[in-house]
Amino acid sequence: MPKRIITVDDAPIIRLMIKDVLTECGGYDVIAECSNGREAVEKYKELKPDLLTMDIVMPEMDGIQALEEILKYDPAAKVVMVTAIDQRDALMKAIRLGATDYIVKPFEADRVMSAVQKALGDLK
Amino acid sequence: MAEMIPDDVMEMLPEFLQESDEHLQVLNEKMLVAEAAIKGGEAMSPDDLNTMFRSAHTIKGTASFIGLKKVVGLTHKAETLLQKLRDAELLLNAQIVDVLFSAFDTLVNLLKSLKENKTEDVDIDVDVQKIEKILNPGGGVVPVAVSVVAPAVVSKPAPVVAPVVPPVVSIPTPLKPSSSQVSSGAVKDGEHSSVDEEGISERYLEQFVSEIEQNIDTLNAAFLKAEKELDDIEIVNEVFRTMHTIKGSAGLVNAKPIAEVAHKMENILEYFRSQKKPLPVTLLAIFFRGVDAFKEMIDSLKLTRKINYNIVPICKELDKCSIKVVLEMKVAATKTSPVAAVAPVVVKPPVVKVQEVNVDWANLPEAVRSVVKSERGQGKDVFIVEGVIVAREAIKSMRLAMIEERLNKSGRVAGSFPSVEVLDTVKADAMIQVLFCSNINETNIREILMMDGVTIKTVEMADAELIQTIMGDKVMEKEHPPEVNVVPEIKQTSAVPSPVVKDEHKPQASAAVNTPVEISTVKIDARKLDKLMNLSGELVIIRSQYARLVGLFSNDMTRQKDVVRITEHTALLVSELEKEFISAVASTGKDAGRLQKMIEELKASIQTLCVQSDREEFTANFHILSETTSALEKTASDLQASVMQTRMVPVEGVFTRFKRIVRDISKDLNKEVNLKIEGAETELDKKIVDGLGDPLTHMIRNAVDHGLESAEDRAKTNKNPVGTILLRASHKGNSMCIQISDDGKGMDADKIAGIAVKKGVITEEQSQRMTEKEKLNLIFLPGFSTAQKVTGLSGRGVGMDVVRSMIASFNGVVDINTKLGEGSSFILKIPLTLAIIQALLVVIGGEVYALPLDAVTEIIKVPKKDIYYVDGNATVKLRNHALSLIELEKVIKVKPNKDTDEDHKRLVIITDGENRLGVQVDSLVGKDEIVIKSFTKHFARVKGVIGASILADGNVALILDPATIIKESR
Repeated sequence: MPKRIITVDDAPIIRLMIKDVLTECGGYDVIAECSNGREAVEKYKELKPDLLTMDIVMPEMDGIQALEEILKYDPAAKVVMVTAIDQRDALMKAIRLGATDYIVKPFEADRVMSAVQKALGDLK
Repeated sequence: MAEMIPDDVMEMLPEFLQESDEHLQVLNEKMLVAEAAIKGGEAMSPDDLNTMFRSAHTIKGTASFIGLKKVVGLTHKAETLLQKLRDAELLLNAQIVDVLFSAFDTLVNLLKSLKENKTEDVDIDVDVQKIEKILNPGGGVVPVAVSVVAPAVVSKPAPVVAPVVPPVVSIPTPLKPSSSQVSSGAVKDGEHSSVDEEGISERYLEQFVSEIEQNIDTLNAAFLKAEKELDDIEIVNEVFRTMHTIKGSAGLVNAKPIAEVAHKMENILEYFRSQKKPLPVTLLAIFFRGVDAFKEMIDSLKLTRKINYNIVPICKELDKCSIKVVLEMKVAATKTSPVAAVAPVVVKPPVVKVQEVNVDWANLPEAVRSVVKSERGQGKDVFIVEGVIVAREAIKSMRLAMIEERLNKSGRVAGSFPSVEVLDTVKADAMIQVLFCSNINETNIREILMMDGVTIKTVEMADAELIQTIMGDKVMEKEHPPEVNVVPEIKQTSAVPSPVVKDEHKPQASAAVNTPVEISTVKIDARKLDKLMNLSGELVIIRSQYARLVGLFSNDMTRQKDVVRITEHTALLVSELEKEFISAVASTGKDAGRLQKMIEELKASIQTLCVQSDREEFTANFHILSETTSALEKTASDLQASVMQTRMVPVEGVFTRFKRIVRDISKDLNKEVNLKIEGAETELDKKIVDGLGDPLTHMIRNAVDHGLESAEDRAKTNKNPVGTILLRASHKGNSMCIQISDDGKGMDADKIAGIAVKKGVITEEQSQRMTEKEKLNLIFLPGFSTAQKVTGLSGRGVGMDVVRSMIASFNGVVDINTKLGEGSSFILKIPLTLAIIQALLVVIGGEVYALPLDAVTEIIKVPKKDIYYVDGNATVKLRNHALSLIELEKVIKVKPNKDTDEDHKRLVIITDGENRLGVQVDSLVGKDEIVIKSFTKHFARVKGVIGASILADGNVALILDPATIIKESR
């Protein structure tokens, strides 16, 4: 069974791009897309995916809060932060909180793939 | 009792509120910790108390700067209390905790009141008294809160003004919010932002507008370039960055429509950027429309402080475009090389260039050594992990932080190299070394560090010798303080000298070798520069006053020397007199005791006088004063020159805009035009550069519209069908020349004269007497247009007369050169700066006035009898031309000229470029360089005077405006 991933980003095109890469090249299953942190937390609890890609700056609840909530709920959760380069401090916070890895936007397809594959231990 | 905060300090309020909010959070947090501590019977940590003290101190400082009396009053008390706690003069107890909490709550309420209605409408007396009671338990006098603490900075008395209009601008959001709304990409966390959610803060508006305008210029230039250079990928990057900036800034100031459009464009661009594909020409049209939308929104923002622009159409277009792009790209990717596009790449092909790091293990910073020591003490192994962070990793220090974070979960990182600052400047692959203490083994470490963007090369356990080196307590170290070698040496090595690859990495390599790049530009509000300019001008004046004083003293000194000499001489005379006297007395044998005594007294007085008058110390001090003054002179001049320099900006900003304008005009008129720009880096006073945009736009439009012929006409005369417009800037002496040339049909002076006659601007007779130049200059007259039909471009109401008056407002002139069939050039000559002018100082009615020297053509002296009157106007004949004379008091209200009995009158002849006029003056002072001080708006309507200047003797001279005087005299 392919591993299940949720993409979180308030920009639909980013979600679409990540989804394309992950499904078409990685054979992963993108089981849900969320446009803010709150949705992400809910979906995580509901669907228990293998990994989340998480934007940082989002309406309602940002990626940092969402990461915190998810890790509180499941300390083993795998969350790859996807963020713009100007979010340095937030990203550092995410790393300290325990994000599995990060991708800097704008990204290349292979970055997404390798970050996700490494995070999931599919690539050695 | 609630005082309104004056407008000018209001600007600082949002920042203060946000900052103070954070500090209050810290205070509350630490207070909770403290409370827990005392409940557990422990003392509070001095660090925490220090933190609290600092927070309170910061709030007080900022508040006093703004003039928030109550906030200052309360925080001052709290700060005093915290200080006593910190210095252990008081011990923290439950009562103090309560009092402080209550004070913090009151502060929160104060901030709330400030945020909501800009007043400090909260009572602080209770809290202040409570704190007072703790501070003075004996509690005799309890001073009332506010009056105790005066703001550190003298703030203007806050007048009760009419309700302050909140400095926000409301912007209607044309789109209903949806999930696909603007990503709040750069909008700072909304909940904590003190900027009004609904609008643009006035404080940032101006900055924002100018920034976006610059960005628009950049975008236009880049898209135009993309139209020509189809394969340039760097353009995509540039455009993307610019778009990202626009989005970010718009997000920050809450200009949602702009952010939305930018965001959508950025998304499309992001796709090309991430795929490293150039922008397809087919998309440029929509991008241009997007940029135009920005322009319209900014214009609307400028005019109405609101964005009245419907972005729905452009957004829809962009959305469509975005979907299309994604689909096309995907298809293309699968068609060409699916593997290359998205295949997972584990390890990059052989690393070409690595920024190496050489750590000097013997001289590590103390912090690193102490960690190693303590970890070794616990029996941990020490590993040196060496890896490479790949070049494309955007923030290398972040990657290193991730490595440290992961390692710290299974041990302790003692140190990592290179430093963050160094690492982030590395553009190539960067080698890193991490000193890691742990009990896990190499395999575990490698597993932990399995992550994207990093290749772990070696994980080596440090042997005893190395550990000894690292920890080394050698005496030697005392002689070489560790600081000397703390920064690891960085070396650039090239592994594969393949020419192709080398080429690609060349610019990056050179950048990486250099020390960290510092940001070398700062954006400054132009008003601040004006103020600096003013102040430095004032300093120059003070300098001259000093120089004058030194001059005066110097005269005194000379006189003083005379006194000394005379006194000494007198002393000599007296002693001779005494000798004579004694010998005289001796010869006569008379008793002259009384005279003898008087001579003694005279001698004593003269001695005293000698001592008094010879003030060596004073002389020495005077020399120092004189030297200091000349140093001041030099420094003040240098300062003024430097400040002047800061006002200079390249004309590039204005010029770049024209590429787009020329493109649009040439499309509209169907004329192919090649715009050549030269000397764009030439610098000019910012104010002038800003004001040049409109007149230049008009002249360029004219050049394309009227100057250049149609392609067919050009072909007939064997010209290149593509017309050329040349825009060239250059410095000439103290002026700047801007030349706008076309290689078009040129101007026919006679035709122009003919049209002018037909339009009734001049008479047939006048035209016959005109020189060719005069005829050409007719185009500058109001109501003149050579275009037979109005094309909608030129002739939009702005005529060349307006252009000329705009240029004239910078004291500039326009010159025309033209040759039939070969083209025309317009040459603008503009002074480099508006702040300093050469002036002729004259005395009229006993007062000194300054006349700009540019306007003065000559100074003459005429016999009174040669002045005759025509229709009551004084006139003289000057080289066979009649010249009207004027007494200044008749034009502007100044003191009348002194009626002198002299046979001659002094006249200063001034001109506005067309007309001449003789101004009668009492006398001339001389030529001088003067700093213009403009008037405040109260004097804006005083006619005939453009400003004032302070002269070296401290007197004020009004600067006369020749143009107005000439106009008013008619």
